[in-house]
Amino acid sequence: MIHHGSRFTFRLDATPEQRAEALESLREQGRAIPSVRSFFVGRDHGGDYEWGAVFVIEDLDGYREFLTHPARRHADRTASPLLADIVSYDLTDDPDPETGARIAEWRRHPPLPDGPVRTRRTVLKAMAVTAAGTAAAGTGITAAPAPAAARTAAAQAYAVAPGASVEVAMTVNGQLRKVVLEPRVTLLDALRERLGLTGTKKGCDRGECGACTVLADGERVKSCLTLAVMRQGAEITTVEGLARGEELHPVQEAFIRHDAFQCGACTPGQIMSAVACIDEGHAGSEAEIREWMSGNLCRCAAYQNIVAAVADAAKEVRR
Amino acid sequence: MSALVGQGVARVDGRAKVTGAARYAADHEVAGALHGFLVMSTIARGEVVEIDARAALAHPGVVAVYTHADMARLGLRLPGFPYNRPFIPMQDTRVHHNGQPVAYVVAQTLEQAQEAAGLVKVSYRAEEPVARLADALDEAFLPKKFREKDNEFARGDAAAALEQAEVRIDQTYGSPMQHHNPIEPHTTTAVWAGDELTLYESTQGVMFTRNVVATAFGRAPEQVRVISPYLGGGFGAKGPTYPHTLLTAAAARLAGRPVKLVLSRAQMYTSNGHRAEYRHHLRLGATRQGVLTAIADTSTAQVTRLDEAVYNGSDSTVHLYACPNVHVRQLGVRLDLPTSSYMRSPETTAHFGLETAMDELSHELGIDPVELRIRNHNPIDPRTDGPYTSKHLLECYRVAAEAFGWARRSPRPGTTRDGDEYVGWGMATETHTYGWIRSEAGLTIGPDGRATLRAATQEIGTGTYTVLSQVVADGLGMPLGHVTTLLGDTTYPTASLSAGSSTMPSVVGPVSEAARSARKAVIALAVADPRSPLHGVPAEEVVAEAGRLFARGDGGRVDSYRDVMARHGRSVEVIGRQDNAPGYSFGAVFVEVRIQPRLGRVRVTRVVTAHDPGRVLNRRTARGQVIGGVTWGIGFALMEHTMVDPNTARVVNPNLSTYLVPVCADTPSVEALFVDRPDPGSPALGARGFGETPGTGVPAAIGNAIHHAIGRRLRDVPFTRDKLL
Amino acid sequence: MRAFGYTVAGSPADAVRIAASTPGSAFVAGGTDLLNLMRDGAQAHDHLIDVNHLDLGEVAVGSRRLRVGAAARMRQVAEHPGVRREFPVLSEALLASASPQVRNMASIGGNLLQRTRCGYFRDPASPCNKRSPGSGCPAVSGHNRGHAILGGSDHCLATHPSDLAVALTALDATVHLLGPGGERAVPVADFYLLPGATPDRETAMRPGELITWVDVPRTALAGQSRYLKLRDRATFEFAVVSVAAALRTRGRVVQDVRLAFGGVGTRPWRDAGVEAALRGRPLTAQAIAGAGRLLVRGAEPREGNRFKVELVQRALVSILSDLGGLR
Repeated sequence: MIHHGSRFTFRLDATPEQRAEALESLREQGRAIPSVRSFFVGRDHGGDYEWGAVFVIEDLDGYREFLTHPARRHADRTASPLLADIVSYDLTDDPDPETGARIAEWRRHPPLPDGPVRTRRTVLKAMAVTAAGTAAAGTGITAAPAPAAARTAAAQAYAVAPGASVEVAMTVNGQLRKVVLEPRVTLLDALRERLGLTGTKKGCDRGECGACTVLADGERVKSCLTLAVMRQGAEITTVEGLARGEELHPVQEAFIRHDAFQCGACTPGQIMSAVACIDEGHAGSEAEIREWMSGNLCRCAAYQNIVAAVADAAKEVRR
Repeated sequence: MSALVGQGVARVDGRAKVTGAARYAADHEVAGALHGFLVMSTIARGEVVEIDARAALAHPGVVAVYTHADMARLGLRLPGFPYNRPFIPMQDTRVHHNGQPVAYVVAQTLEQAQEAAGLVKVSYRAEEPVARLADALDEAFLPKKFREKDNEFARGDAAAALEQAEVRIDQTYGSPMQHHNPIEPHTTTAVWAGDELTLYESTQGVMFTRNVVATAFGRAPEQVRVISPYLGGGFGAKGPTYPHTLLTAAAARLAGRPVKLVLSRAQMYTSNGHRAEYRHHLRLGATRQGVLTAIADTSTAQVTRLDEAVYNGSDSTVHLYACPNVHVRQLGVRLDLPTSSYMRSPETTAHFGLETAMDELSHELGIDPVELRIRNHNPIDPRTDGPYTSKHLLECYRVAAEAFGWARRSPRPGTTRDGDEYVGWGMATETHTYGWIRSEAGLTIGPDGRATLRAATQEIGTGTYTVLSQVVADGLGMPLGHVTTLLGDTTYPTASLSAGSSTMPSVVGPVSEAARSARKAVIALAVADPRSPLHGVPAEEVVAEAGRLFARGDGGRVDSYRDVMARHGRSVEVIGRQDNAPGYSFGAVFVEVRIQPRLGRVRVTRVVTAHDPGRVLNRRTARGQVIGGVTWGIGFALMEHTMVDPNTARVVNPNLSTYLVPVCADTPSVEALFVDRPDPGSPALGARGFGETPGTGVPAAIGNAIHHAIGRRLRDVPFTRDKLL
Repeated sequence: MRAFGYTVAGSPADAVRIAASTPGSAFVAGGTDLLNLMRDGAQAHDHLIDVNHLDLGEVAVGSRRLRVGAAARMRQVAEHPGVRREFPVLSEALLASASPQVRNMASIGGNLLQRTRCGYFRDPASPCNKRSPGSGCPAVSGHNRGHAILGGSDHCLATHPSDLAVALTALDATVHLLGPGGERAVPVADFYLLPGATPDRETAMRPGELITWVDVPRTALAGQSRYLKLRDRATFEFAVVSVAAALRTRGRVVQDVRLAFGGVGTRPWRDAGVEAALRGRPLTAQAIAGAGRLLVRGAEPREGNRFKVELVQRALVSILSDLGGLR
């Protein structure tokens, strides 16, 4: 599998119509070029660029087709003059170093079209075989040696074969963090076992206790029930990211003040849930807090103190 | 004398717990650690015939798959305690219960280990299991003594007294299997360095774990270090030592690499004990005036084919009421299930029957339930056959009843309505037998004049760090902020298991002693030092307060821990020891329920408690134990229930969405009152063991309130909708 | 969890195309049930196709219908002002489901396709005809408190756990599908199948189909709807028994009524006869009781769930009394 991606920012003087046309030309590449298995064109939440585009292509033949296709040239002509900044890259999970070398070469010297034009159907069949073959080999990710490849992972989209790994970039507690992992790794295990953020707890590992609650793009989620790859580009806040230096978040302060925990195992999840509960406007009364904090079990049962802490912190946050 | 002990001091470990900085057992990063995952048996009884690990071994990242064929041989004297199993798994082919470890997978990543565990093919020769108490009641027997306690107790002649009683209650009560379900799963990370083993372990007792593991591996205790600075809930589940700990240490030894194991939630339903399914036949005899003349108490609990440990004792039947004729028999029935264990407030199981029967008796006699209990109050301590050194249970009844407004209660059931809800009030006595385990505490006053306490007991959420810091600060006359308490490490002086409400009665005395000795030592340094303003002052005339040392009656002569120790230039180190004894704590709980009979809905809407724990060491953490215990009582009464398939003896609901524990919306706010008087018999600064007292009476109080609300008597928990329609 | 591949789909057509060409694939949106099923080994997939980035997140209340995109989140629908005003039963059913965190994550399509919470189904070491056809159903003689009294067979007694599906069933919703054969629409009443001898077949969906959106007719009736959910703890639990009801009366006469039940049937349970018995007649306690008896006339309770026969009738009384102002 080859992931061809780019991240870019439009020139300030590009009109909305021009921008729309350019984006459409990129999407048309995905629709028109048979060897594109999946693609994504959308806003880039990862950092320095406005937009991102990723095209997932199954093999070198497909990649050649992609690079030489008329739709690609059309997109190039339409979009390139409008861009202020662009970075592009290629990733592949093919363990054969030859593949990476060929990609790099083609990036420097684009290939010429050759061979028969393939139909969509045959491409998809070839695709399935490739995926299965890669699974058996259980390979890791291999980045093409093009300089751009080292820059960053895709904005949001890519395909990964079974057994292969992929780089996921997330903003965790305000810092861009990248981690290479298999698609089956949950956000929780990515945080705890790969990023060293053990403040988030694993209680049940099935969404039934709430100990693993974190904020993803500002919303509370159970990190054991989402895959890290599904959070590509997301902004994650864990309990380690709430305090500002030595100054605790008002919810953390209130939890201490009201003795809203005992053993502390559910506490990170309770606190993250409480931050969101207040933010959502669900801390208006004791009954409301009880209902909206019920996704977080506390086996020590500090519940009444948790309710008091949330009510108290809500006053402070609103002030 | 004291400034801090007794105050509701905020938890000293609060900041660590709200910022994610507190390191629980699974949070320790161990370089090069492999991930372990258990393969569990899928039959309850029989033999492993073959284990085919080829597919698992071929899986990427898998380092090893251990089975009974190649697992290290472990040596332990069985059955027993604190190793809570009558066998060690993976030593032979026998399967004793469903969900027993039969293979151990070690892999590079957690995901690889989990997947590979699913690839291990185990074939069995299965035998038919027996899973339900009801299916084997005719095989009930009187088990042998367990941990020095007999399963039969008699005083007077209960049978004869029952025969002659004016009023009799004869009923059977029941409770199902329940599971502790701490939020933190059991976890072990084992690291060998030569013959020395370090375990990052989720345990309520680092010393217990160390001793079991050292014995199993034929090592000296000093060769095993167990570290557990924070525990994410135990409730008894992490008191005894369990097979997964031994197997992980063995796997790490065999693999030659550190191994980290975290049990899955489902595995926790067969790996660390449970509250046994229980039936309770109770007969009470009394006079028309409500004086108990006889109690015949026969309980039947699940045990296993290989052991007969009964964990749910009828202690309260024996000691709570002044009844001359008592006969208790704690029977067992052998089922093909894991060995049960202690689960928070183990006597709740039996006490539920006793306190419900007392309510039935009060109704039968037309005597107020509180009054009935007062008439049968027992001032005699069964341990000494003399009066209790202190017992303020009568005051608990009075204080709680008053706060609750009990006097306004109409005695007739079914008479109070509010909208479409019936309102019921019920009460029960609370009591728990606490333990004592010989402990020591090491206290160091450093050259900076600050104190560091070390004790190999644990912080399990009950506030051990905080309370012990308070005791040290008071004992030394030092600000709380100058005290650091270190717990949960076997390199510290040996100290109590955090179970059986024994931590405070066991450790506070030694800590207090250590503080007293350390203060004396520092004062001795000061008065002997010509450079000290206190030089020459008689030591007994030197007072310590807020870190300063001064001569009584002479405010001009002031020194400080900081200055004395700075001049001394070395640490002062002392060890504190102080023996104590097990005992009882008491209380009363009053409960209001609201019932919508049409839909069978019960809500617990108000709870008032009053307890007598001796001296309250920290009002805030003590209150935490009350609201926790009450909530456990609500769970016990209304929802908790492990379902075991009758045909396969396999747990059907090994999760937290179908094994229900109370959520925030299930619990009312509890008003927790204390009769706060030091017990002169307790060397733990007058405090008794307390944590498991609250909650013991709650299931009965809820059942009694339900009866008061709608006139229906429920005798089997949980009281779910189907029983209330 | 078995290793799997992963693809982010760019459009619904793209998603369906990839699914058709990738054996053992499944769509994933929230993942809140799928990941547990895969962890437990109750389901296994070689490839997940992420449909979170498709343009299917819309919730729109039009003049004649509500249109909910399959990728919309439970919270988004529950809190939508138009849904709350015009389709209160949907909002209530969603808010009575799961936890706030899961409602932020779980999609509408995934909600409709979540699998039963039967403990035997979720445990690969137990026989289960739904998971492993022909292996047997331990619930018949085992623990069946959470199981169905209506629509069961000797092969399966499992209930469908979705509250939303019950509410949609009451409101005559339509499920729109996109598959290799193109688009089609299935009324929700036909969407869920009775277990019969093939409990492994749960819905009318064909292989490779993707739910794209759900349509709910906007009627005056839908505006007067409620959801009643009974369970063993206050919240954060699947239904023991639930009722979705919509009722319109003139004077005391029932103009129109829609009823669907959860926790009692092997699929969201609708019984036209029960509604017919109420329609055009005065709403009285006797009439409701009669309708309730009709509802359970074919009930086949087992040892553990016998109480549901009574409880569901009482739940019906309760919700219709509330909606009809009988108390």
